[in-house]
Amino acid sequence: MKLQKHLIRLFTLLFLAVFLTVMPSAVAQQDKSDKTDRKGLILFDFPEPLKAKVEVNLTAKLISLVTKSVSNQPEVAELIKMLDGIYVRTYDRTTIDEKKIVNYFKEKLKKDEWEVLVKIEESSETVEINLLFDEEKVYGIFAIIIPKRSGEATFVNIVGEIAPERIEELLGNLSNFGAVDIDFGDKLKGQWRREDTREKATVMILGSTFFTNPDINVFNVKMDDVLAPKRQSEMEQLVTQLKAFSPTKIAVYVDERDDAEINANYQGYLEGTYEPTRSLPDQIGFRLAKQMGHPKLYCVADWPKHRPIRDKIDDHLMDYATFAETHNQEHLLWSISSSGVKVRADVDGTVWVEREGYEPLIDMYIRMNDPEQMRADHQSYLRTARIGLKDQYPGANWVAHWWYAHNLKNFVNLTRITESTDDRILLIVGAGHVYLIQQFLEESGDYIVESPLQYLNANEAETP
Amino acid sequence: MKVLVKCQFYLMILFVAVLFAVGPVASDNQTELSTGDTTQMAKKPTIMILGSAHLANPGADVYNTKMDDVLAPKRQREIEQLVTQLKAFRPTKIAIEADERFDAKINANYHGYLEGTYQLKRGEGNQIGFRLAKQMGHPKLYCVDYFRNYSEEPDGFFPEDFDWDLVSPGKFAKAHNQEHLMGQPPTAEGKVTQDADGTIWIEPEKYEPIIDMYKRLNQPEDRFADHQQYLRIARVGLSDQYPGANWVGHLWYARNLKIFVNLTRITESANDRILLIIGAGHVFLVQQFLEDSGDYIVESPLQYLNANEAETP
Repeated sequence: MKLQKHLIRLFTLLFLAVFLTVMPSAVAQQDKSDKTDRKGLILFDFPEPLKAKVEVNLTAKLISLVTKSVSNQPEVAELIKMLDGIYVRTYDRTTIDEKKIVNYFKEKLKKDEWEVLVKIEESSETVEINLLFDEEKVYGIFAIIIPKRSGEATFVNIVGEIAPERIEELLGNLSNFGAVDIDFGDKLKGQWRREDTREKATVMILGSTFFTNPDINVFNVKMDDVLAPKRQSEMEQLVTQLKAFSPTKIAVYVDERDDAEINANYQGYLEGTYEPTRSLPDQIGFRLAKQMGHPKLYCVADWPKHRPIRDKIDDHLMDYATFAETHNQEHLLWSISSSGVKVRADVDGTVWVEREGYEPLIDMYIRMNDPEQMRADHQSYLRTARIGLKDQYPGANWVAHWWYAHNLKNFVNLTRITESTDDRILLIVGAGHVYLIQQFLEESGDYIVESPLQYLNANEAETP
Repeated sequence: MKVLVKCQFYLMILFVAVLFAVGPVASDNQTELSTGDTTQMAKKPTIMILGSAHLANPGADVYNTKMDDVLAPKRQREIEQLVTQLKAFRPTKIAIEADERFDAKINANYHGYLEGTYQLKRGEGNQIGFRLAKQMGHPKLYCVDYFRNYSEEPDGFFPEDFDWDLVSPGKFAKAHNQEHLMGQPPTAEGKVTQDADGTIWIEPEKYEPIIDMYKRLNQPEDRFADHQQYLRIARVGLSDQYPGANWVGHLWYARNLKIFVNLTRITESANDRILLIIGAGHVFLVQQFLEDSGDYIVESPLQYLNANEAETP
């Protein structure tokens, strides 16, 4: 988006300028020329002396000057015009009593009846965004951003009568403040919602390939033999890393009607009478469930034996591929764009994707669970949905009646196995499903979704 | 005092830095426009979705807000004002919630309206769509809904012997003590009554100006709350029965996905600015499809609806 790009540059340069001229704390303390009782303003008046690494005080006057100079870009000017102040403090976490400061500001916010818009408490970061608003508009934003690894804690206060629909745009650009190296743009997507503070169950979705090479997908990734000793030791390493999530339940992408069979195998595995096959549930699910001491696994896929509705729909109404080929719409079909892969088709038309060179298992999982990759996959489905003309919708029919309906049932099955808010469910599924199931879980408002990326560490795998 | 002087010095540096920062951005903008690159840099078409109530009281929704007569002079003035404010979006096309099968009929009406032979009816398509299209000088409107009453007019998609209980969460919930998943009528919005045929009406307790109603209907929070309600209904079911998920997936998502597809079909260029006027319940999903596709810029109508406040003295 063009506007965003300009803002990024503008903010980056603004902050760079400030950064280069880092003001000693004492100087900034004098800068209280603006009214201190302004609605939306939270003074950085922590009672103990603090040494800030970065200190930014952009007051209304300064901002109005910026607005004038961008008057030839009305969109940018309009956005900036709403702001009456931007104040930032970044502290070195080793020099401060972080908890005390955070609590001090939280108390202040509470007293002035601010509300929490977004709260992210993860092992890798803490982000809290507070708003002061009424039905009409927002008066201020106060953000606490602590990316654990960086060793810095940043507090941001944006003052101004900000139109609610522009908040995302503003917050989206916070990540571009040179000093605050955190990208929460994705987490804020569509999050103009009041934070509900209810306890929620946690789900982590591990997107995977199928180790057994079933030809069930549009593109099938060819996997070498996972029972080979090297793959097996990588698998052990992977399971050890996933164990840190401490799952209370493991859900696998197997038809729920096969639950009995899978769990009979699992019991055999526990007793040493069942030899794990190459399948995904056996290789990762059984191993991890055993290590966690789980009595069983959960089959949550609605797949593929009984489909009371889809079976009633005439297949040719969903045959998007033939329609695309006969109506010059092949550009709407999937394409494989990633480098380092070979694509070939069997005589029966099954398309296989083979990687060139050896990819360690954990690297593969890090690649497959990259949110950008998942978003790109999902976009391909929405492009496929367009295949059709006039009264014919083979693409939309396939995407809705097969893909969405199927994933919605996978989501519903997860809700059915959730017993308490203490549940931490690990779902192991084909990578294509992750985007939608995660979207349903997050939008339901009843789950916290954790990314497996924070548990996966490729370097660790190499050390003995 | 020394401190203050120092402070001013820093501020001056900052001023200069800001001016430098702004300069290149502006010129960069112009080069981008002139190169006309259609790949990644290409501009995206814009869509604005106006979530609406059904002004003619068709009683087609789960909960229906009872609207007083929008043909009354006061309401007509309010609608004129609304249309004037929406005009600032400068739509190049106006899309309405009518099945594409009715395209010819609706556009015949529109032409009658342009020629002065057709009286506007109460529906929002007529009241807002026709009015705005005329003011913008549009030759036609676009019908983008896909809404078939499968059970009464089978069109071959679902077979005639289809078991409609498979997609009836209400009935299942009642029989299996799952009515808590079906949601409650919005009692805060007015008095709730039910017709003999089961249609549920919400009667507002006080007069709400049209523009206020549209502001209320287009709050992202409320639209999101609606969507959550659908995801809750999806849970209705037990063991291998999924009437909730079937209804939400095969009917609700499918219909909204086709509305999205129809919007892509009427998009002709990156300069298109399409205004979609549609029942507020559809806003969340249609917007999500548009945004997730990565091919559109979606604008909120709130900035246009709020504009009138600035004009009052």
